Amino acid sequence: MAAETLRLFGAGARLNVARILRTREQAIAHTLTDFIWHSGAMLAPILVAVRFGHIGPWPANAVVFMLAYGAAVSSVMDALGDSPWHMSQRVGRGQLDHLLVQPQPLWRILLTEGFTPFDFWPVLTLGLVLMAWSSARLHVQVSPGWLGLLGVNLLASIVVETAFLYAWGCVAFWAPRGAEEISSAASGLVGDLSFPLDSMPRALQVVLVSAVPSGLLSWLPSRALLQIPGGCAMDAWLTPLAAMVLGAFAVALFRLGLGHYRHTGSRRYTDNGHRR
Amino acid sequence: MAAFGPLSDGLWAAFSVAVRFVRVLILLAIWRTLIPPDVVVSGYRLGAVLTYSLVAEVFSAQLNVRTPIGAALWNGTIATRFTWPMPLATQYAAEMVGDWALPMVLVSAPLLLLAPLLGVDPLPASAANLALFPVSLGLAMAIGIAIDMASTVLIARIDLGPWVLNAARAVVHAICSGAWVPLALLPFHLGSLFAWLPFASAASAPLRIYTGTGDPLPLLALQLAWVIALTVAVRVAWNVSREKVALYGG
Repeated sequence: MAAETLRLFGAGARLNVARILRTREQAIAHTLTDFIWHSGAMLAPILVAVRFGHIGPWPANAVVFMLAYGAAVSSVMDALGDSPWHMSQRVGRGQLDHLLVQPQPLWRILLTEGFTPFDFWPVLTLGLVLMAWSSARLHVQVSPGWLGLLGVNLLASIVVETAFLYAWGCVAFWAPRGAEEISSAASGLVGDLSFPLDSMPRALQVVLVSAVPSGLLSWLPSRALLQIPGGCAMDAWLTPLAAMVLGAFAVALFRLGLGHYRHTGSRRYTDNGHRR
Repeated sequence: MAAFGPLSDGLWAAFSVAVRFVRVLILLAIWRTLIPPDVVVSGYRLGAVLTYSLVAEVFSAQLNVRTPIGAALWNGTIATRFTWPMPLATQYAAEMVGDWALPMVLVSAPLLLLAPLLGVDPLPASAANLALFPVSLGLAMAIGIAIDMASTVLIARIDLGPWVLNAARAVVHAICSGAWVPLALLPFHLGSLFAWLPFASAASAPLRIYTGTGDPLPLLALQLAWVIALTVAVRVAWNVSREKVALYGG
């Protein structure tokens, strides 16, 4: 099972290299664009933090760590393909059939298709370098345990975002036309917050780490890892816990939706092949 | 027609509304932690910064003008527009203005009405500032449309995908325009440099006039200079580039 998954990851990486080599100018432009986009998104909050020396209890270097953490999460998400962002489109348009006819389990296709590790390495590198730099400036005691916790939280943040997008995308099983674009709409909800949330009202903080888990994609894990005042030691395990709960919820919803899809199929195409 | 476009997303259009509310709540909360009451930071009191941020969100679409022309050029739908009896920029600017209607009703108006509940005074610095604000906002939008057309020229000339330029423009907008953060509050005196660029005239200038944190006459003069310079330059650039537009598909 693992060997076949790795083989498909390898195939994705080879295709990624082939595309870069055959469309060099465009590949460079796209990679550069992604880099500018992510680094630019980080710059405004960093400039504010540098100007004032802090944002609430967060020193400027901690803000850099938080944004770098977010960049690392989003670059790994991007490298793993765009199926979470397009799930509702695929279900709504009946394109799930294209995956179901393939001689692979659905989970493996969704995990490995669109794997493009070489498109996003500049952003990932930027994120990792800035995390290392800011950790050093903050005199964080980097131990194997801390690095393990960082890795677990990074993975958990990725799972949280993926599960959130999949859970919303599942709505398209029951409302294929009305909810066709819900995945991209949902992605706008979680990905647009790049400031520490400490100063927000408590009720909104709770919403932003539960129903709309933007806070779990960088703010809460960074606060726990850097031990910023306002949190507690257990916070480092909140994102992994949320990842398990949200992940289980998304899987259950997806299986339920898939069961429904098996009975109904797609009703979006007429006999002539036109989409309704 | 364009005004009802966002409704085609159904209830999900509410997501982008929610994001804008959350974004402004976060910014307001952050300014309160950074600037103590009654302290003046680079010419800004807390009240002025809060009003600046709120008004920036209320007029976010007008301060960051994006017409659909770049995408139309890329996907080929611009082809039939060449035959319409109206300048291209006017066609796409009209569509863009239609797109503004629903967000105005769902976000901008409620934000202004709820401002006192958020602890923000939404009123302009004075009646004179209020009178000059629409003039400045109109000039800002004209500069924005000129910048958008300049991006279209680049797409046509160097065959760049619109998303490539959009990324660069998003970064420039976030940092240089003053739409997110008042330019005077940037470190290393970056603000005094950025204030001379057209991006600041397209966003920061009307906000400074509204909040009374800038002298209106020099700001309006600079905006007018940028409108004239960019309009002339972009018209010339488009006229020599339109023959390079290549489309395929059907």
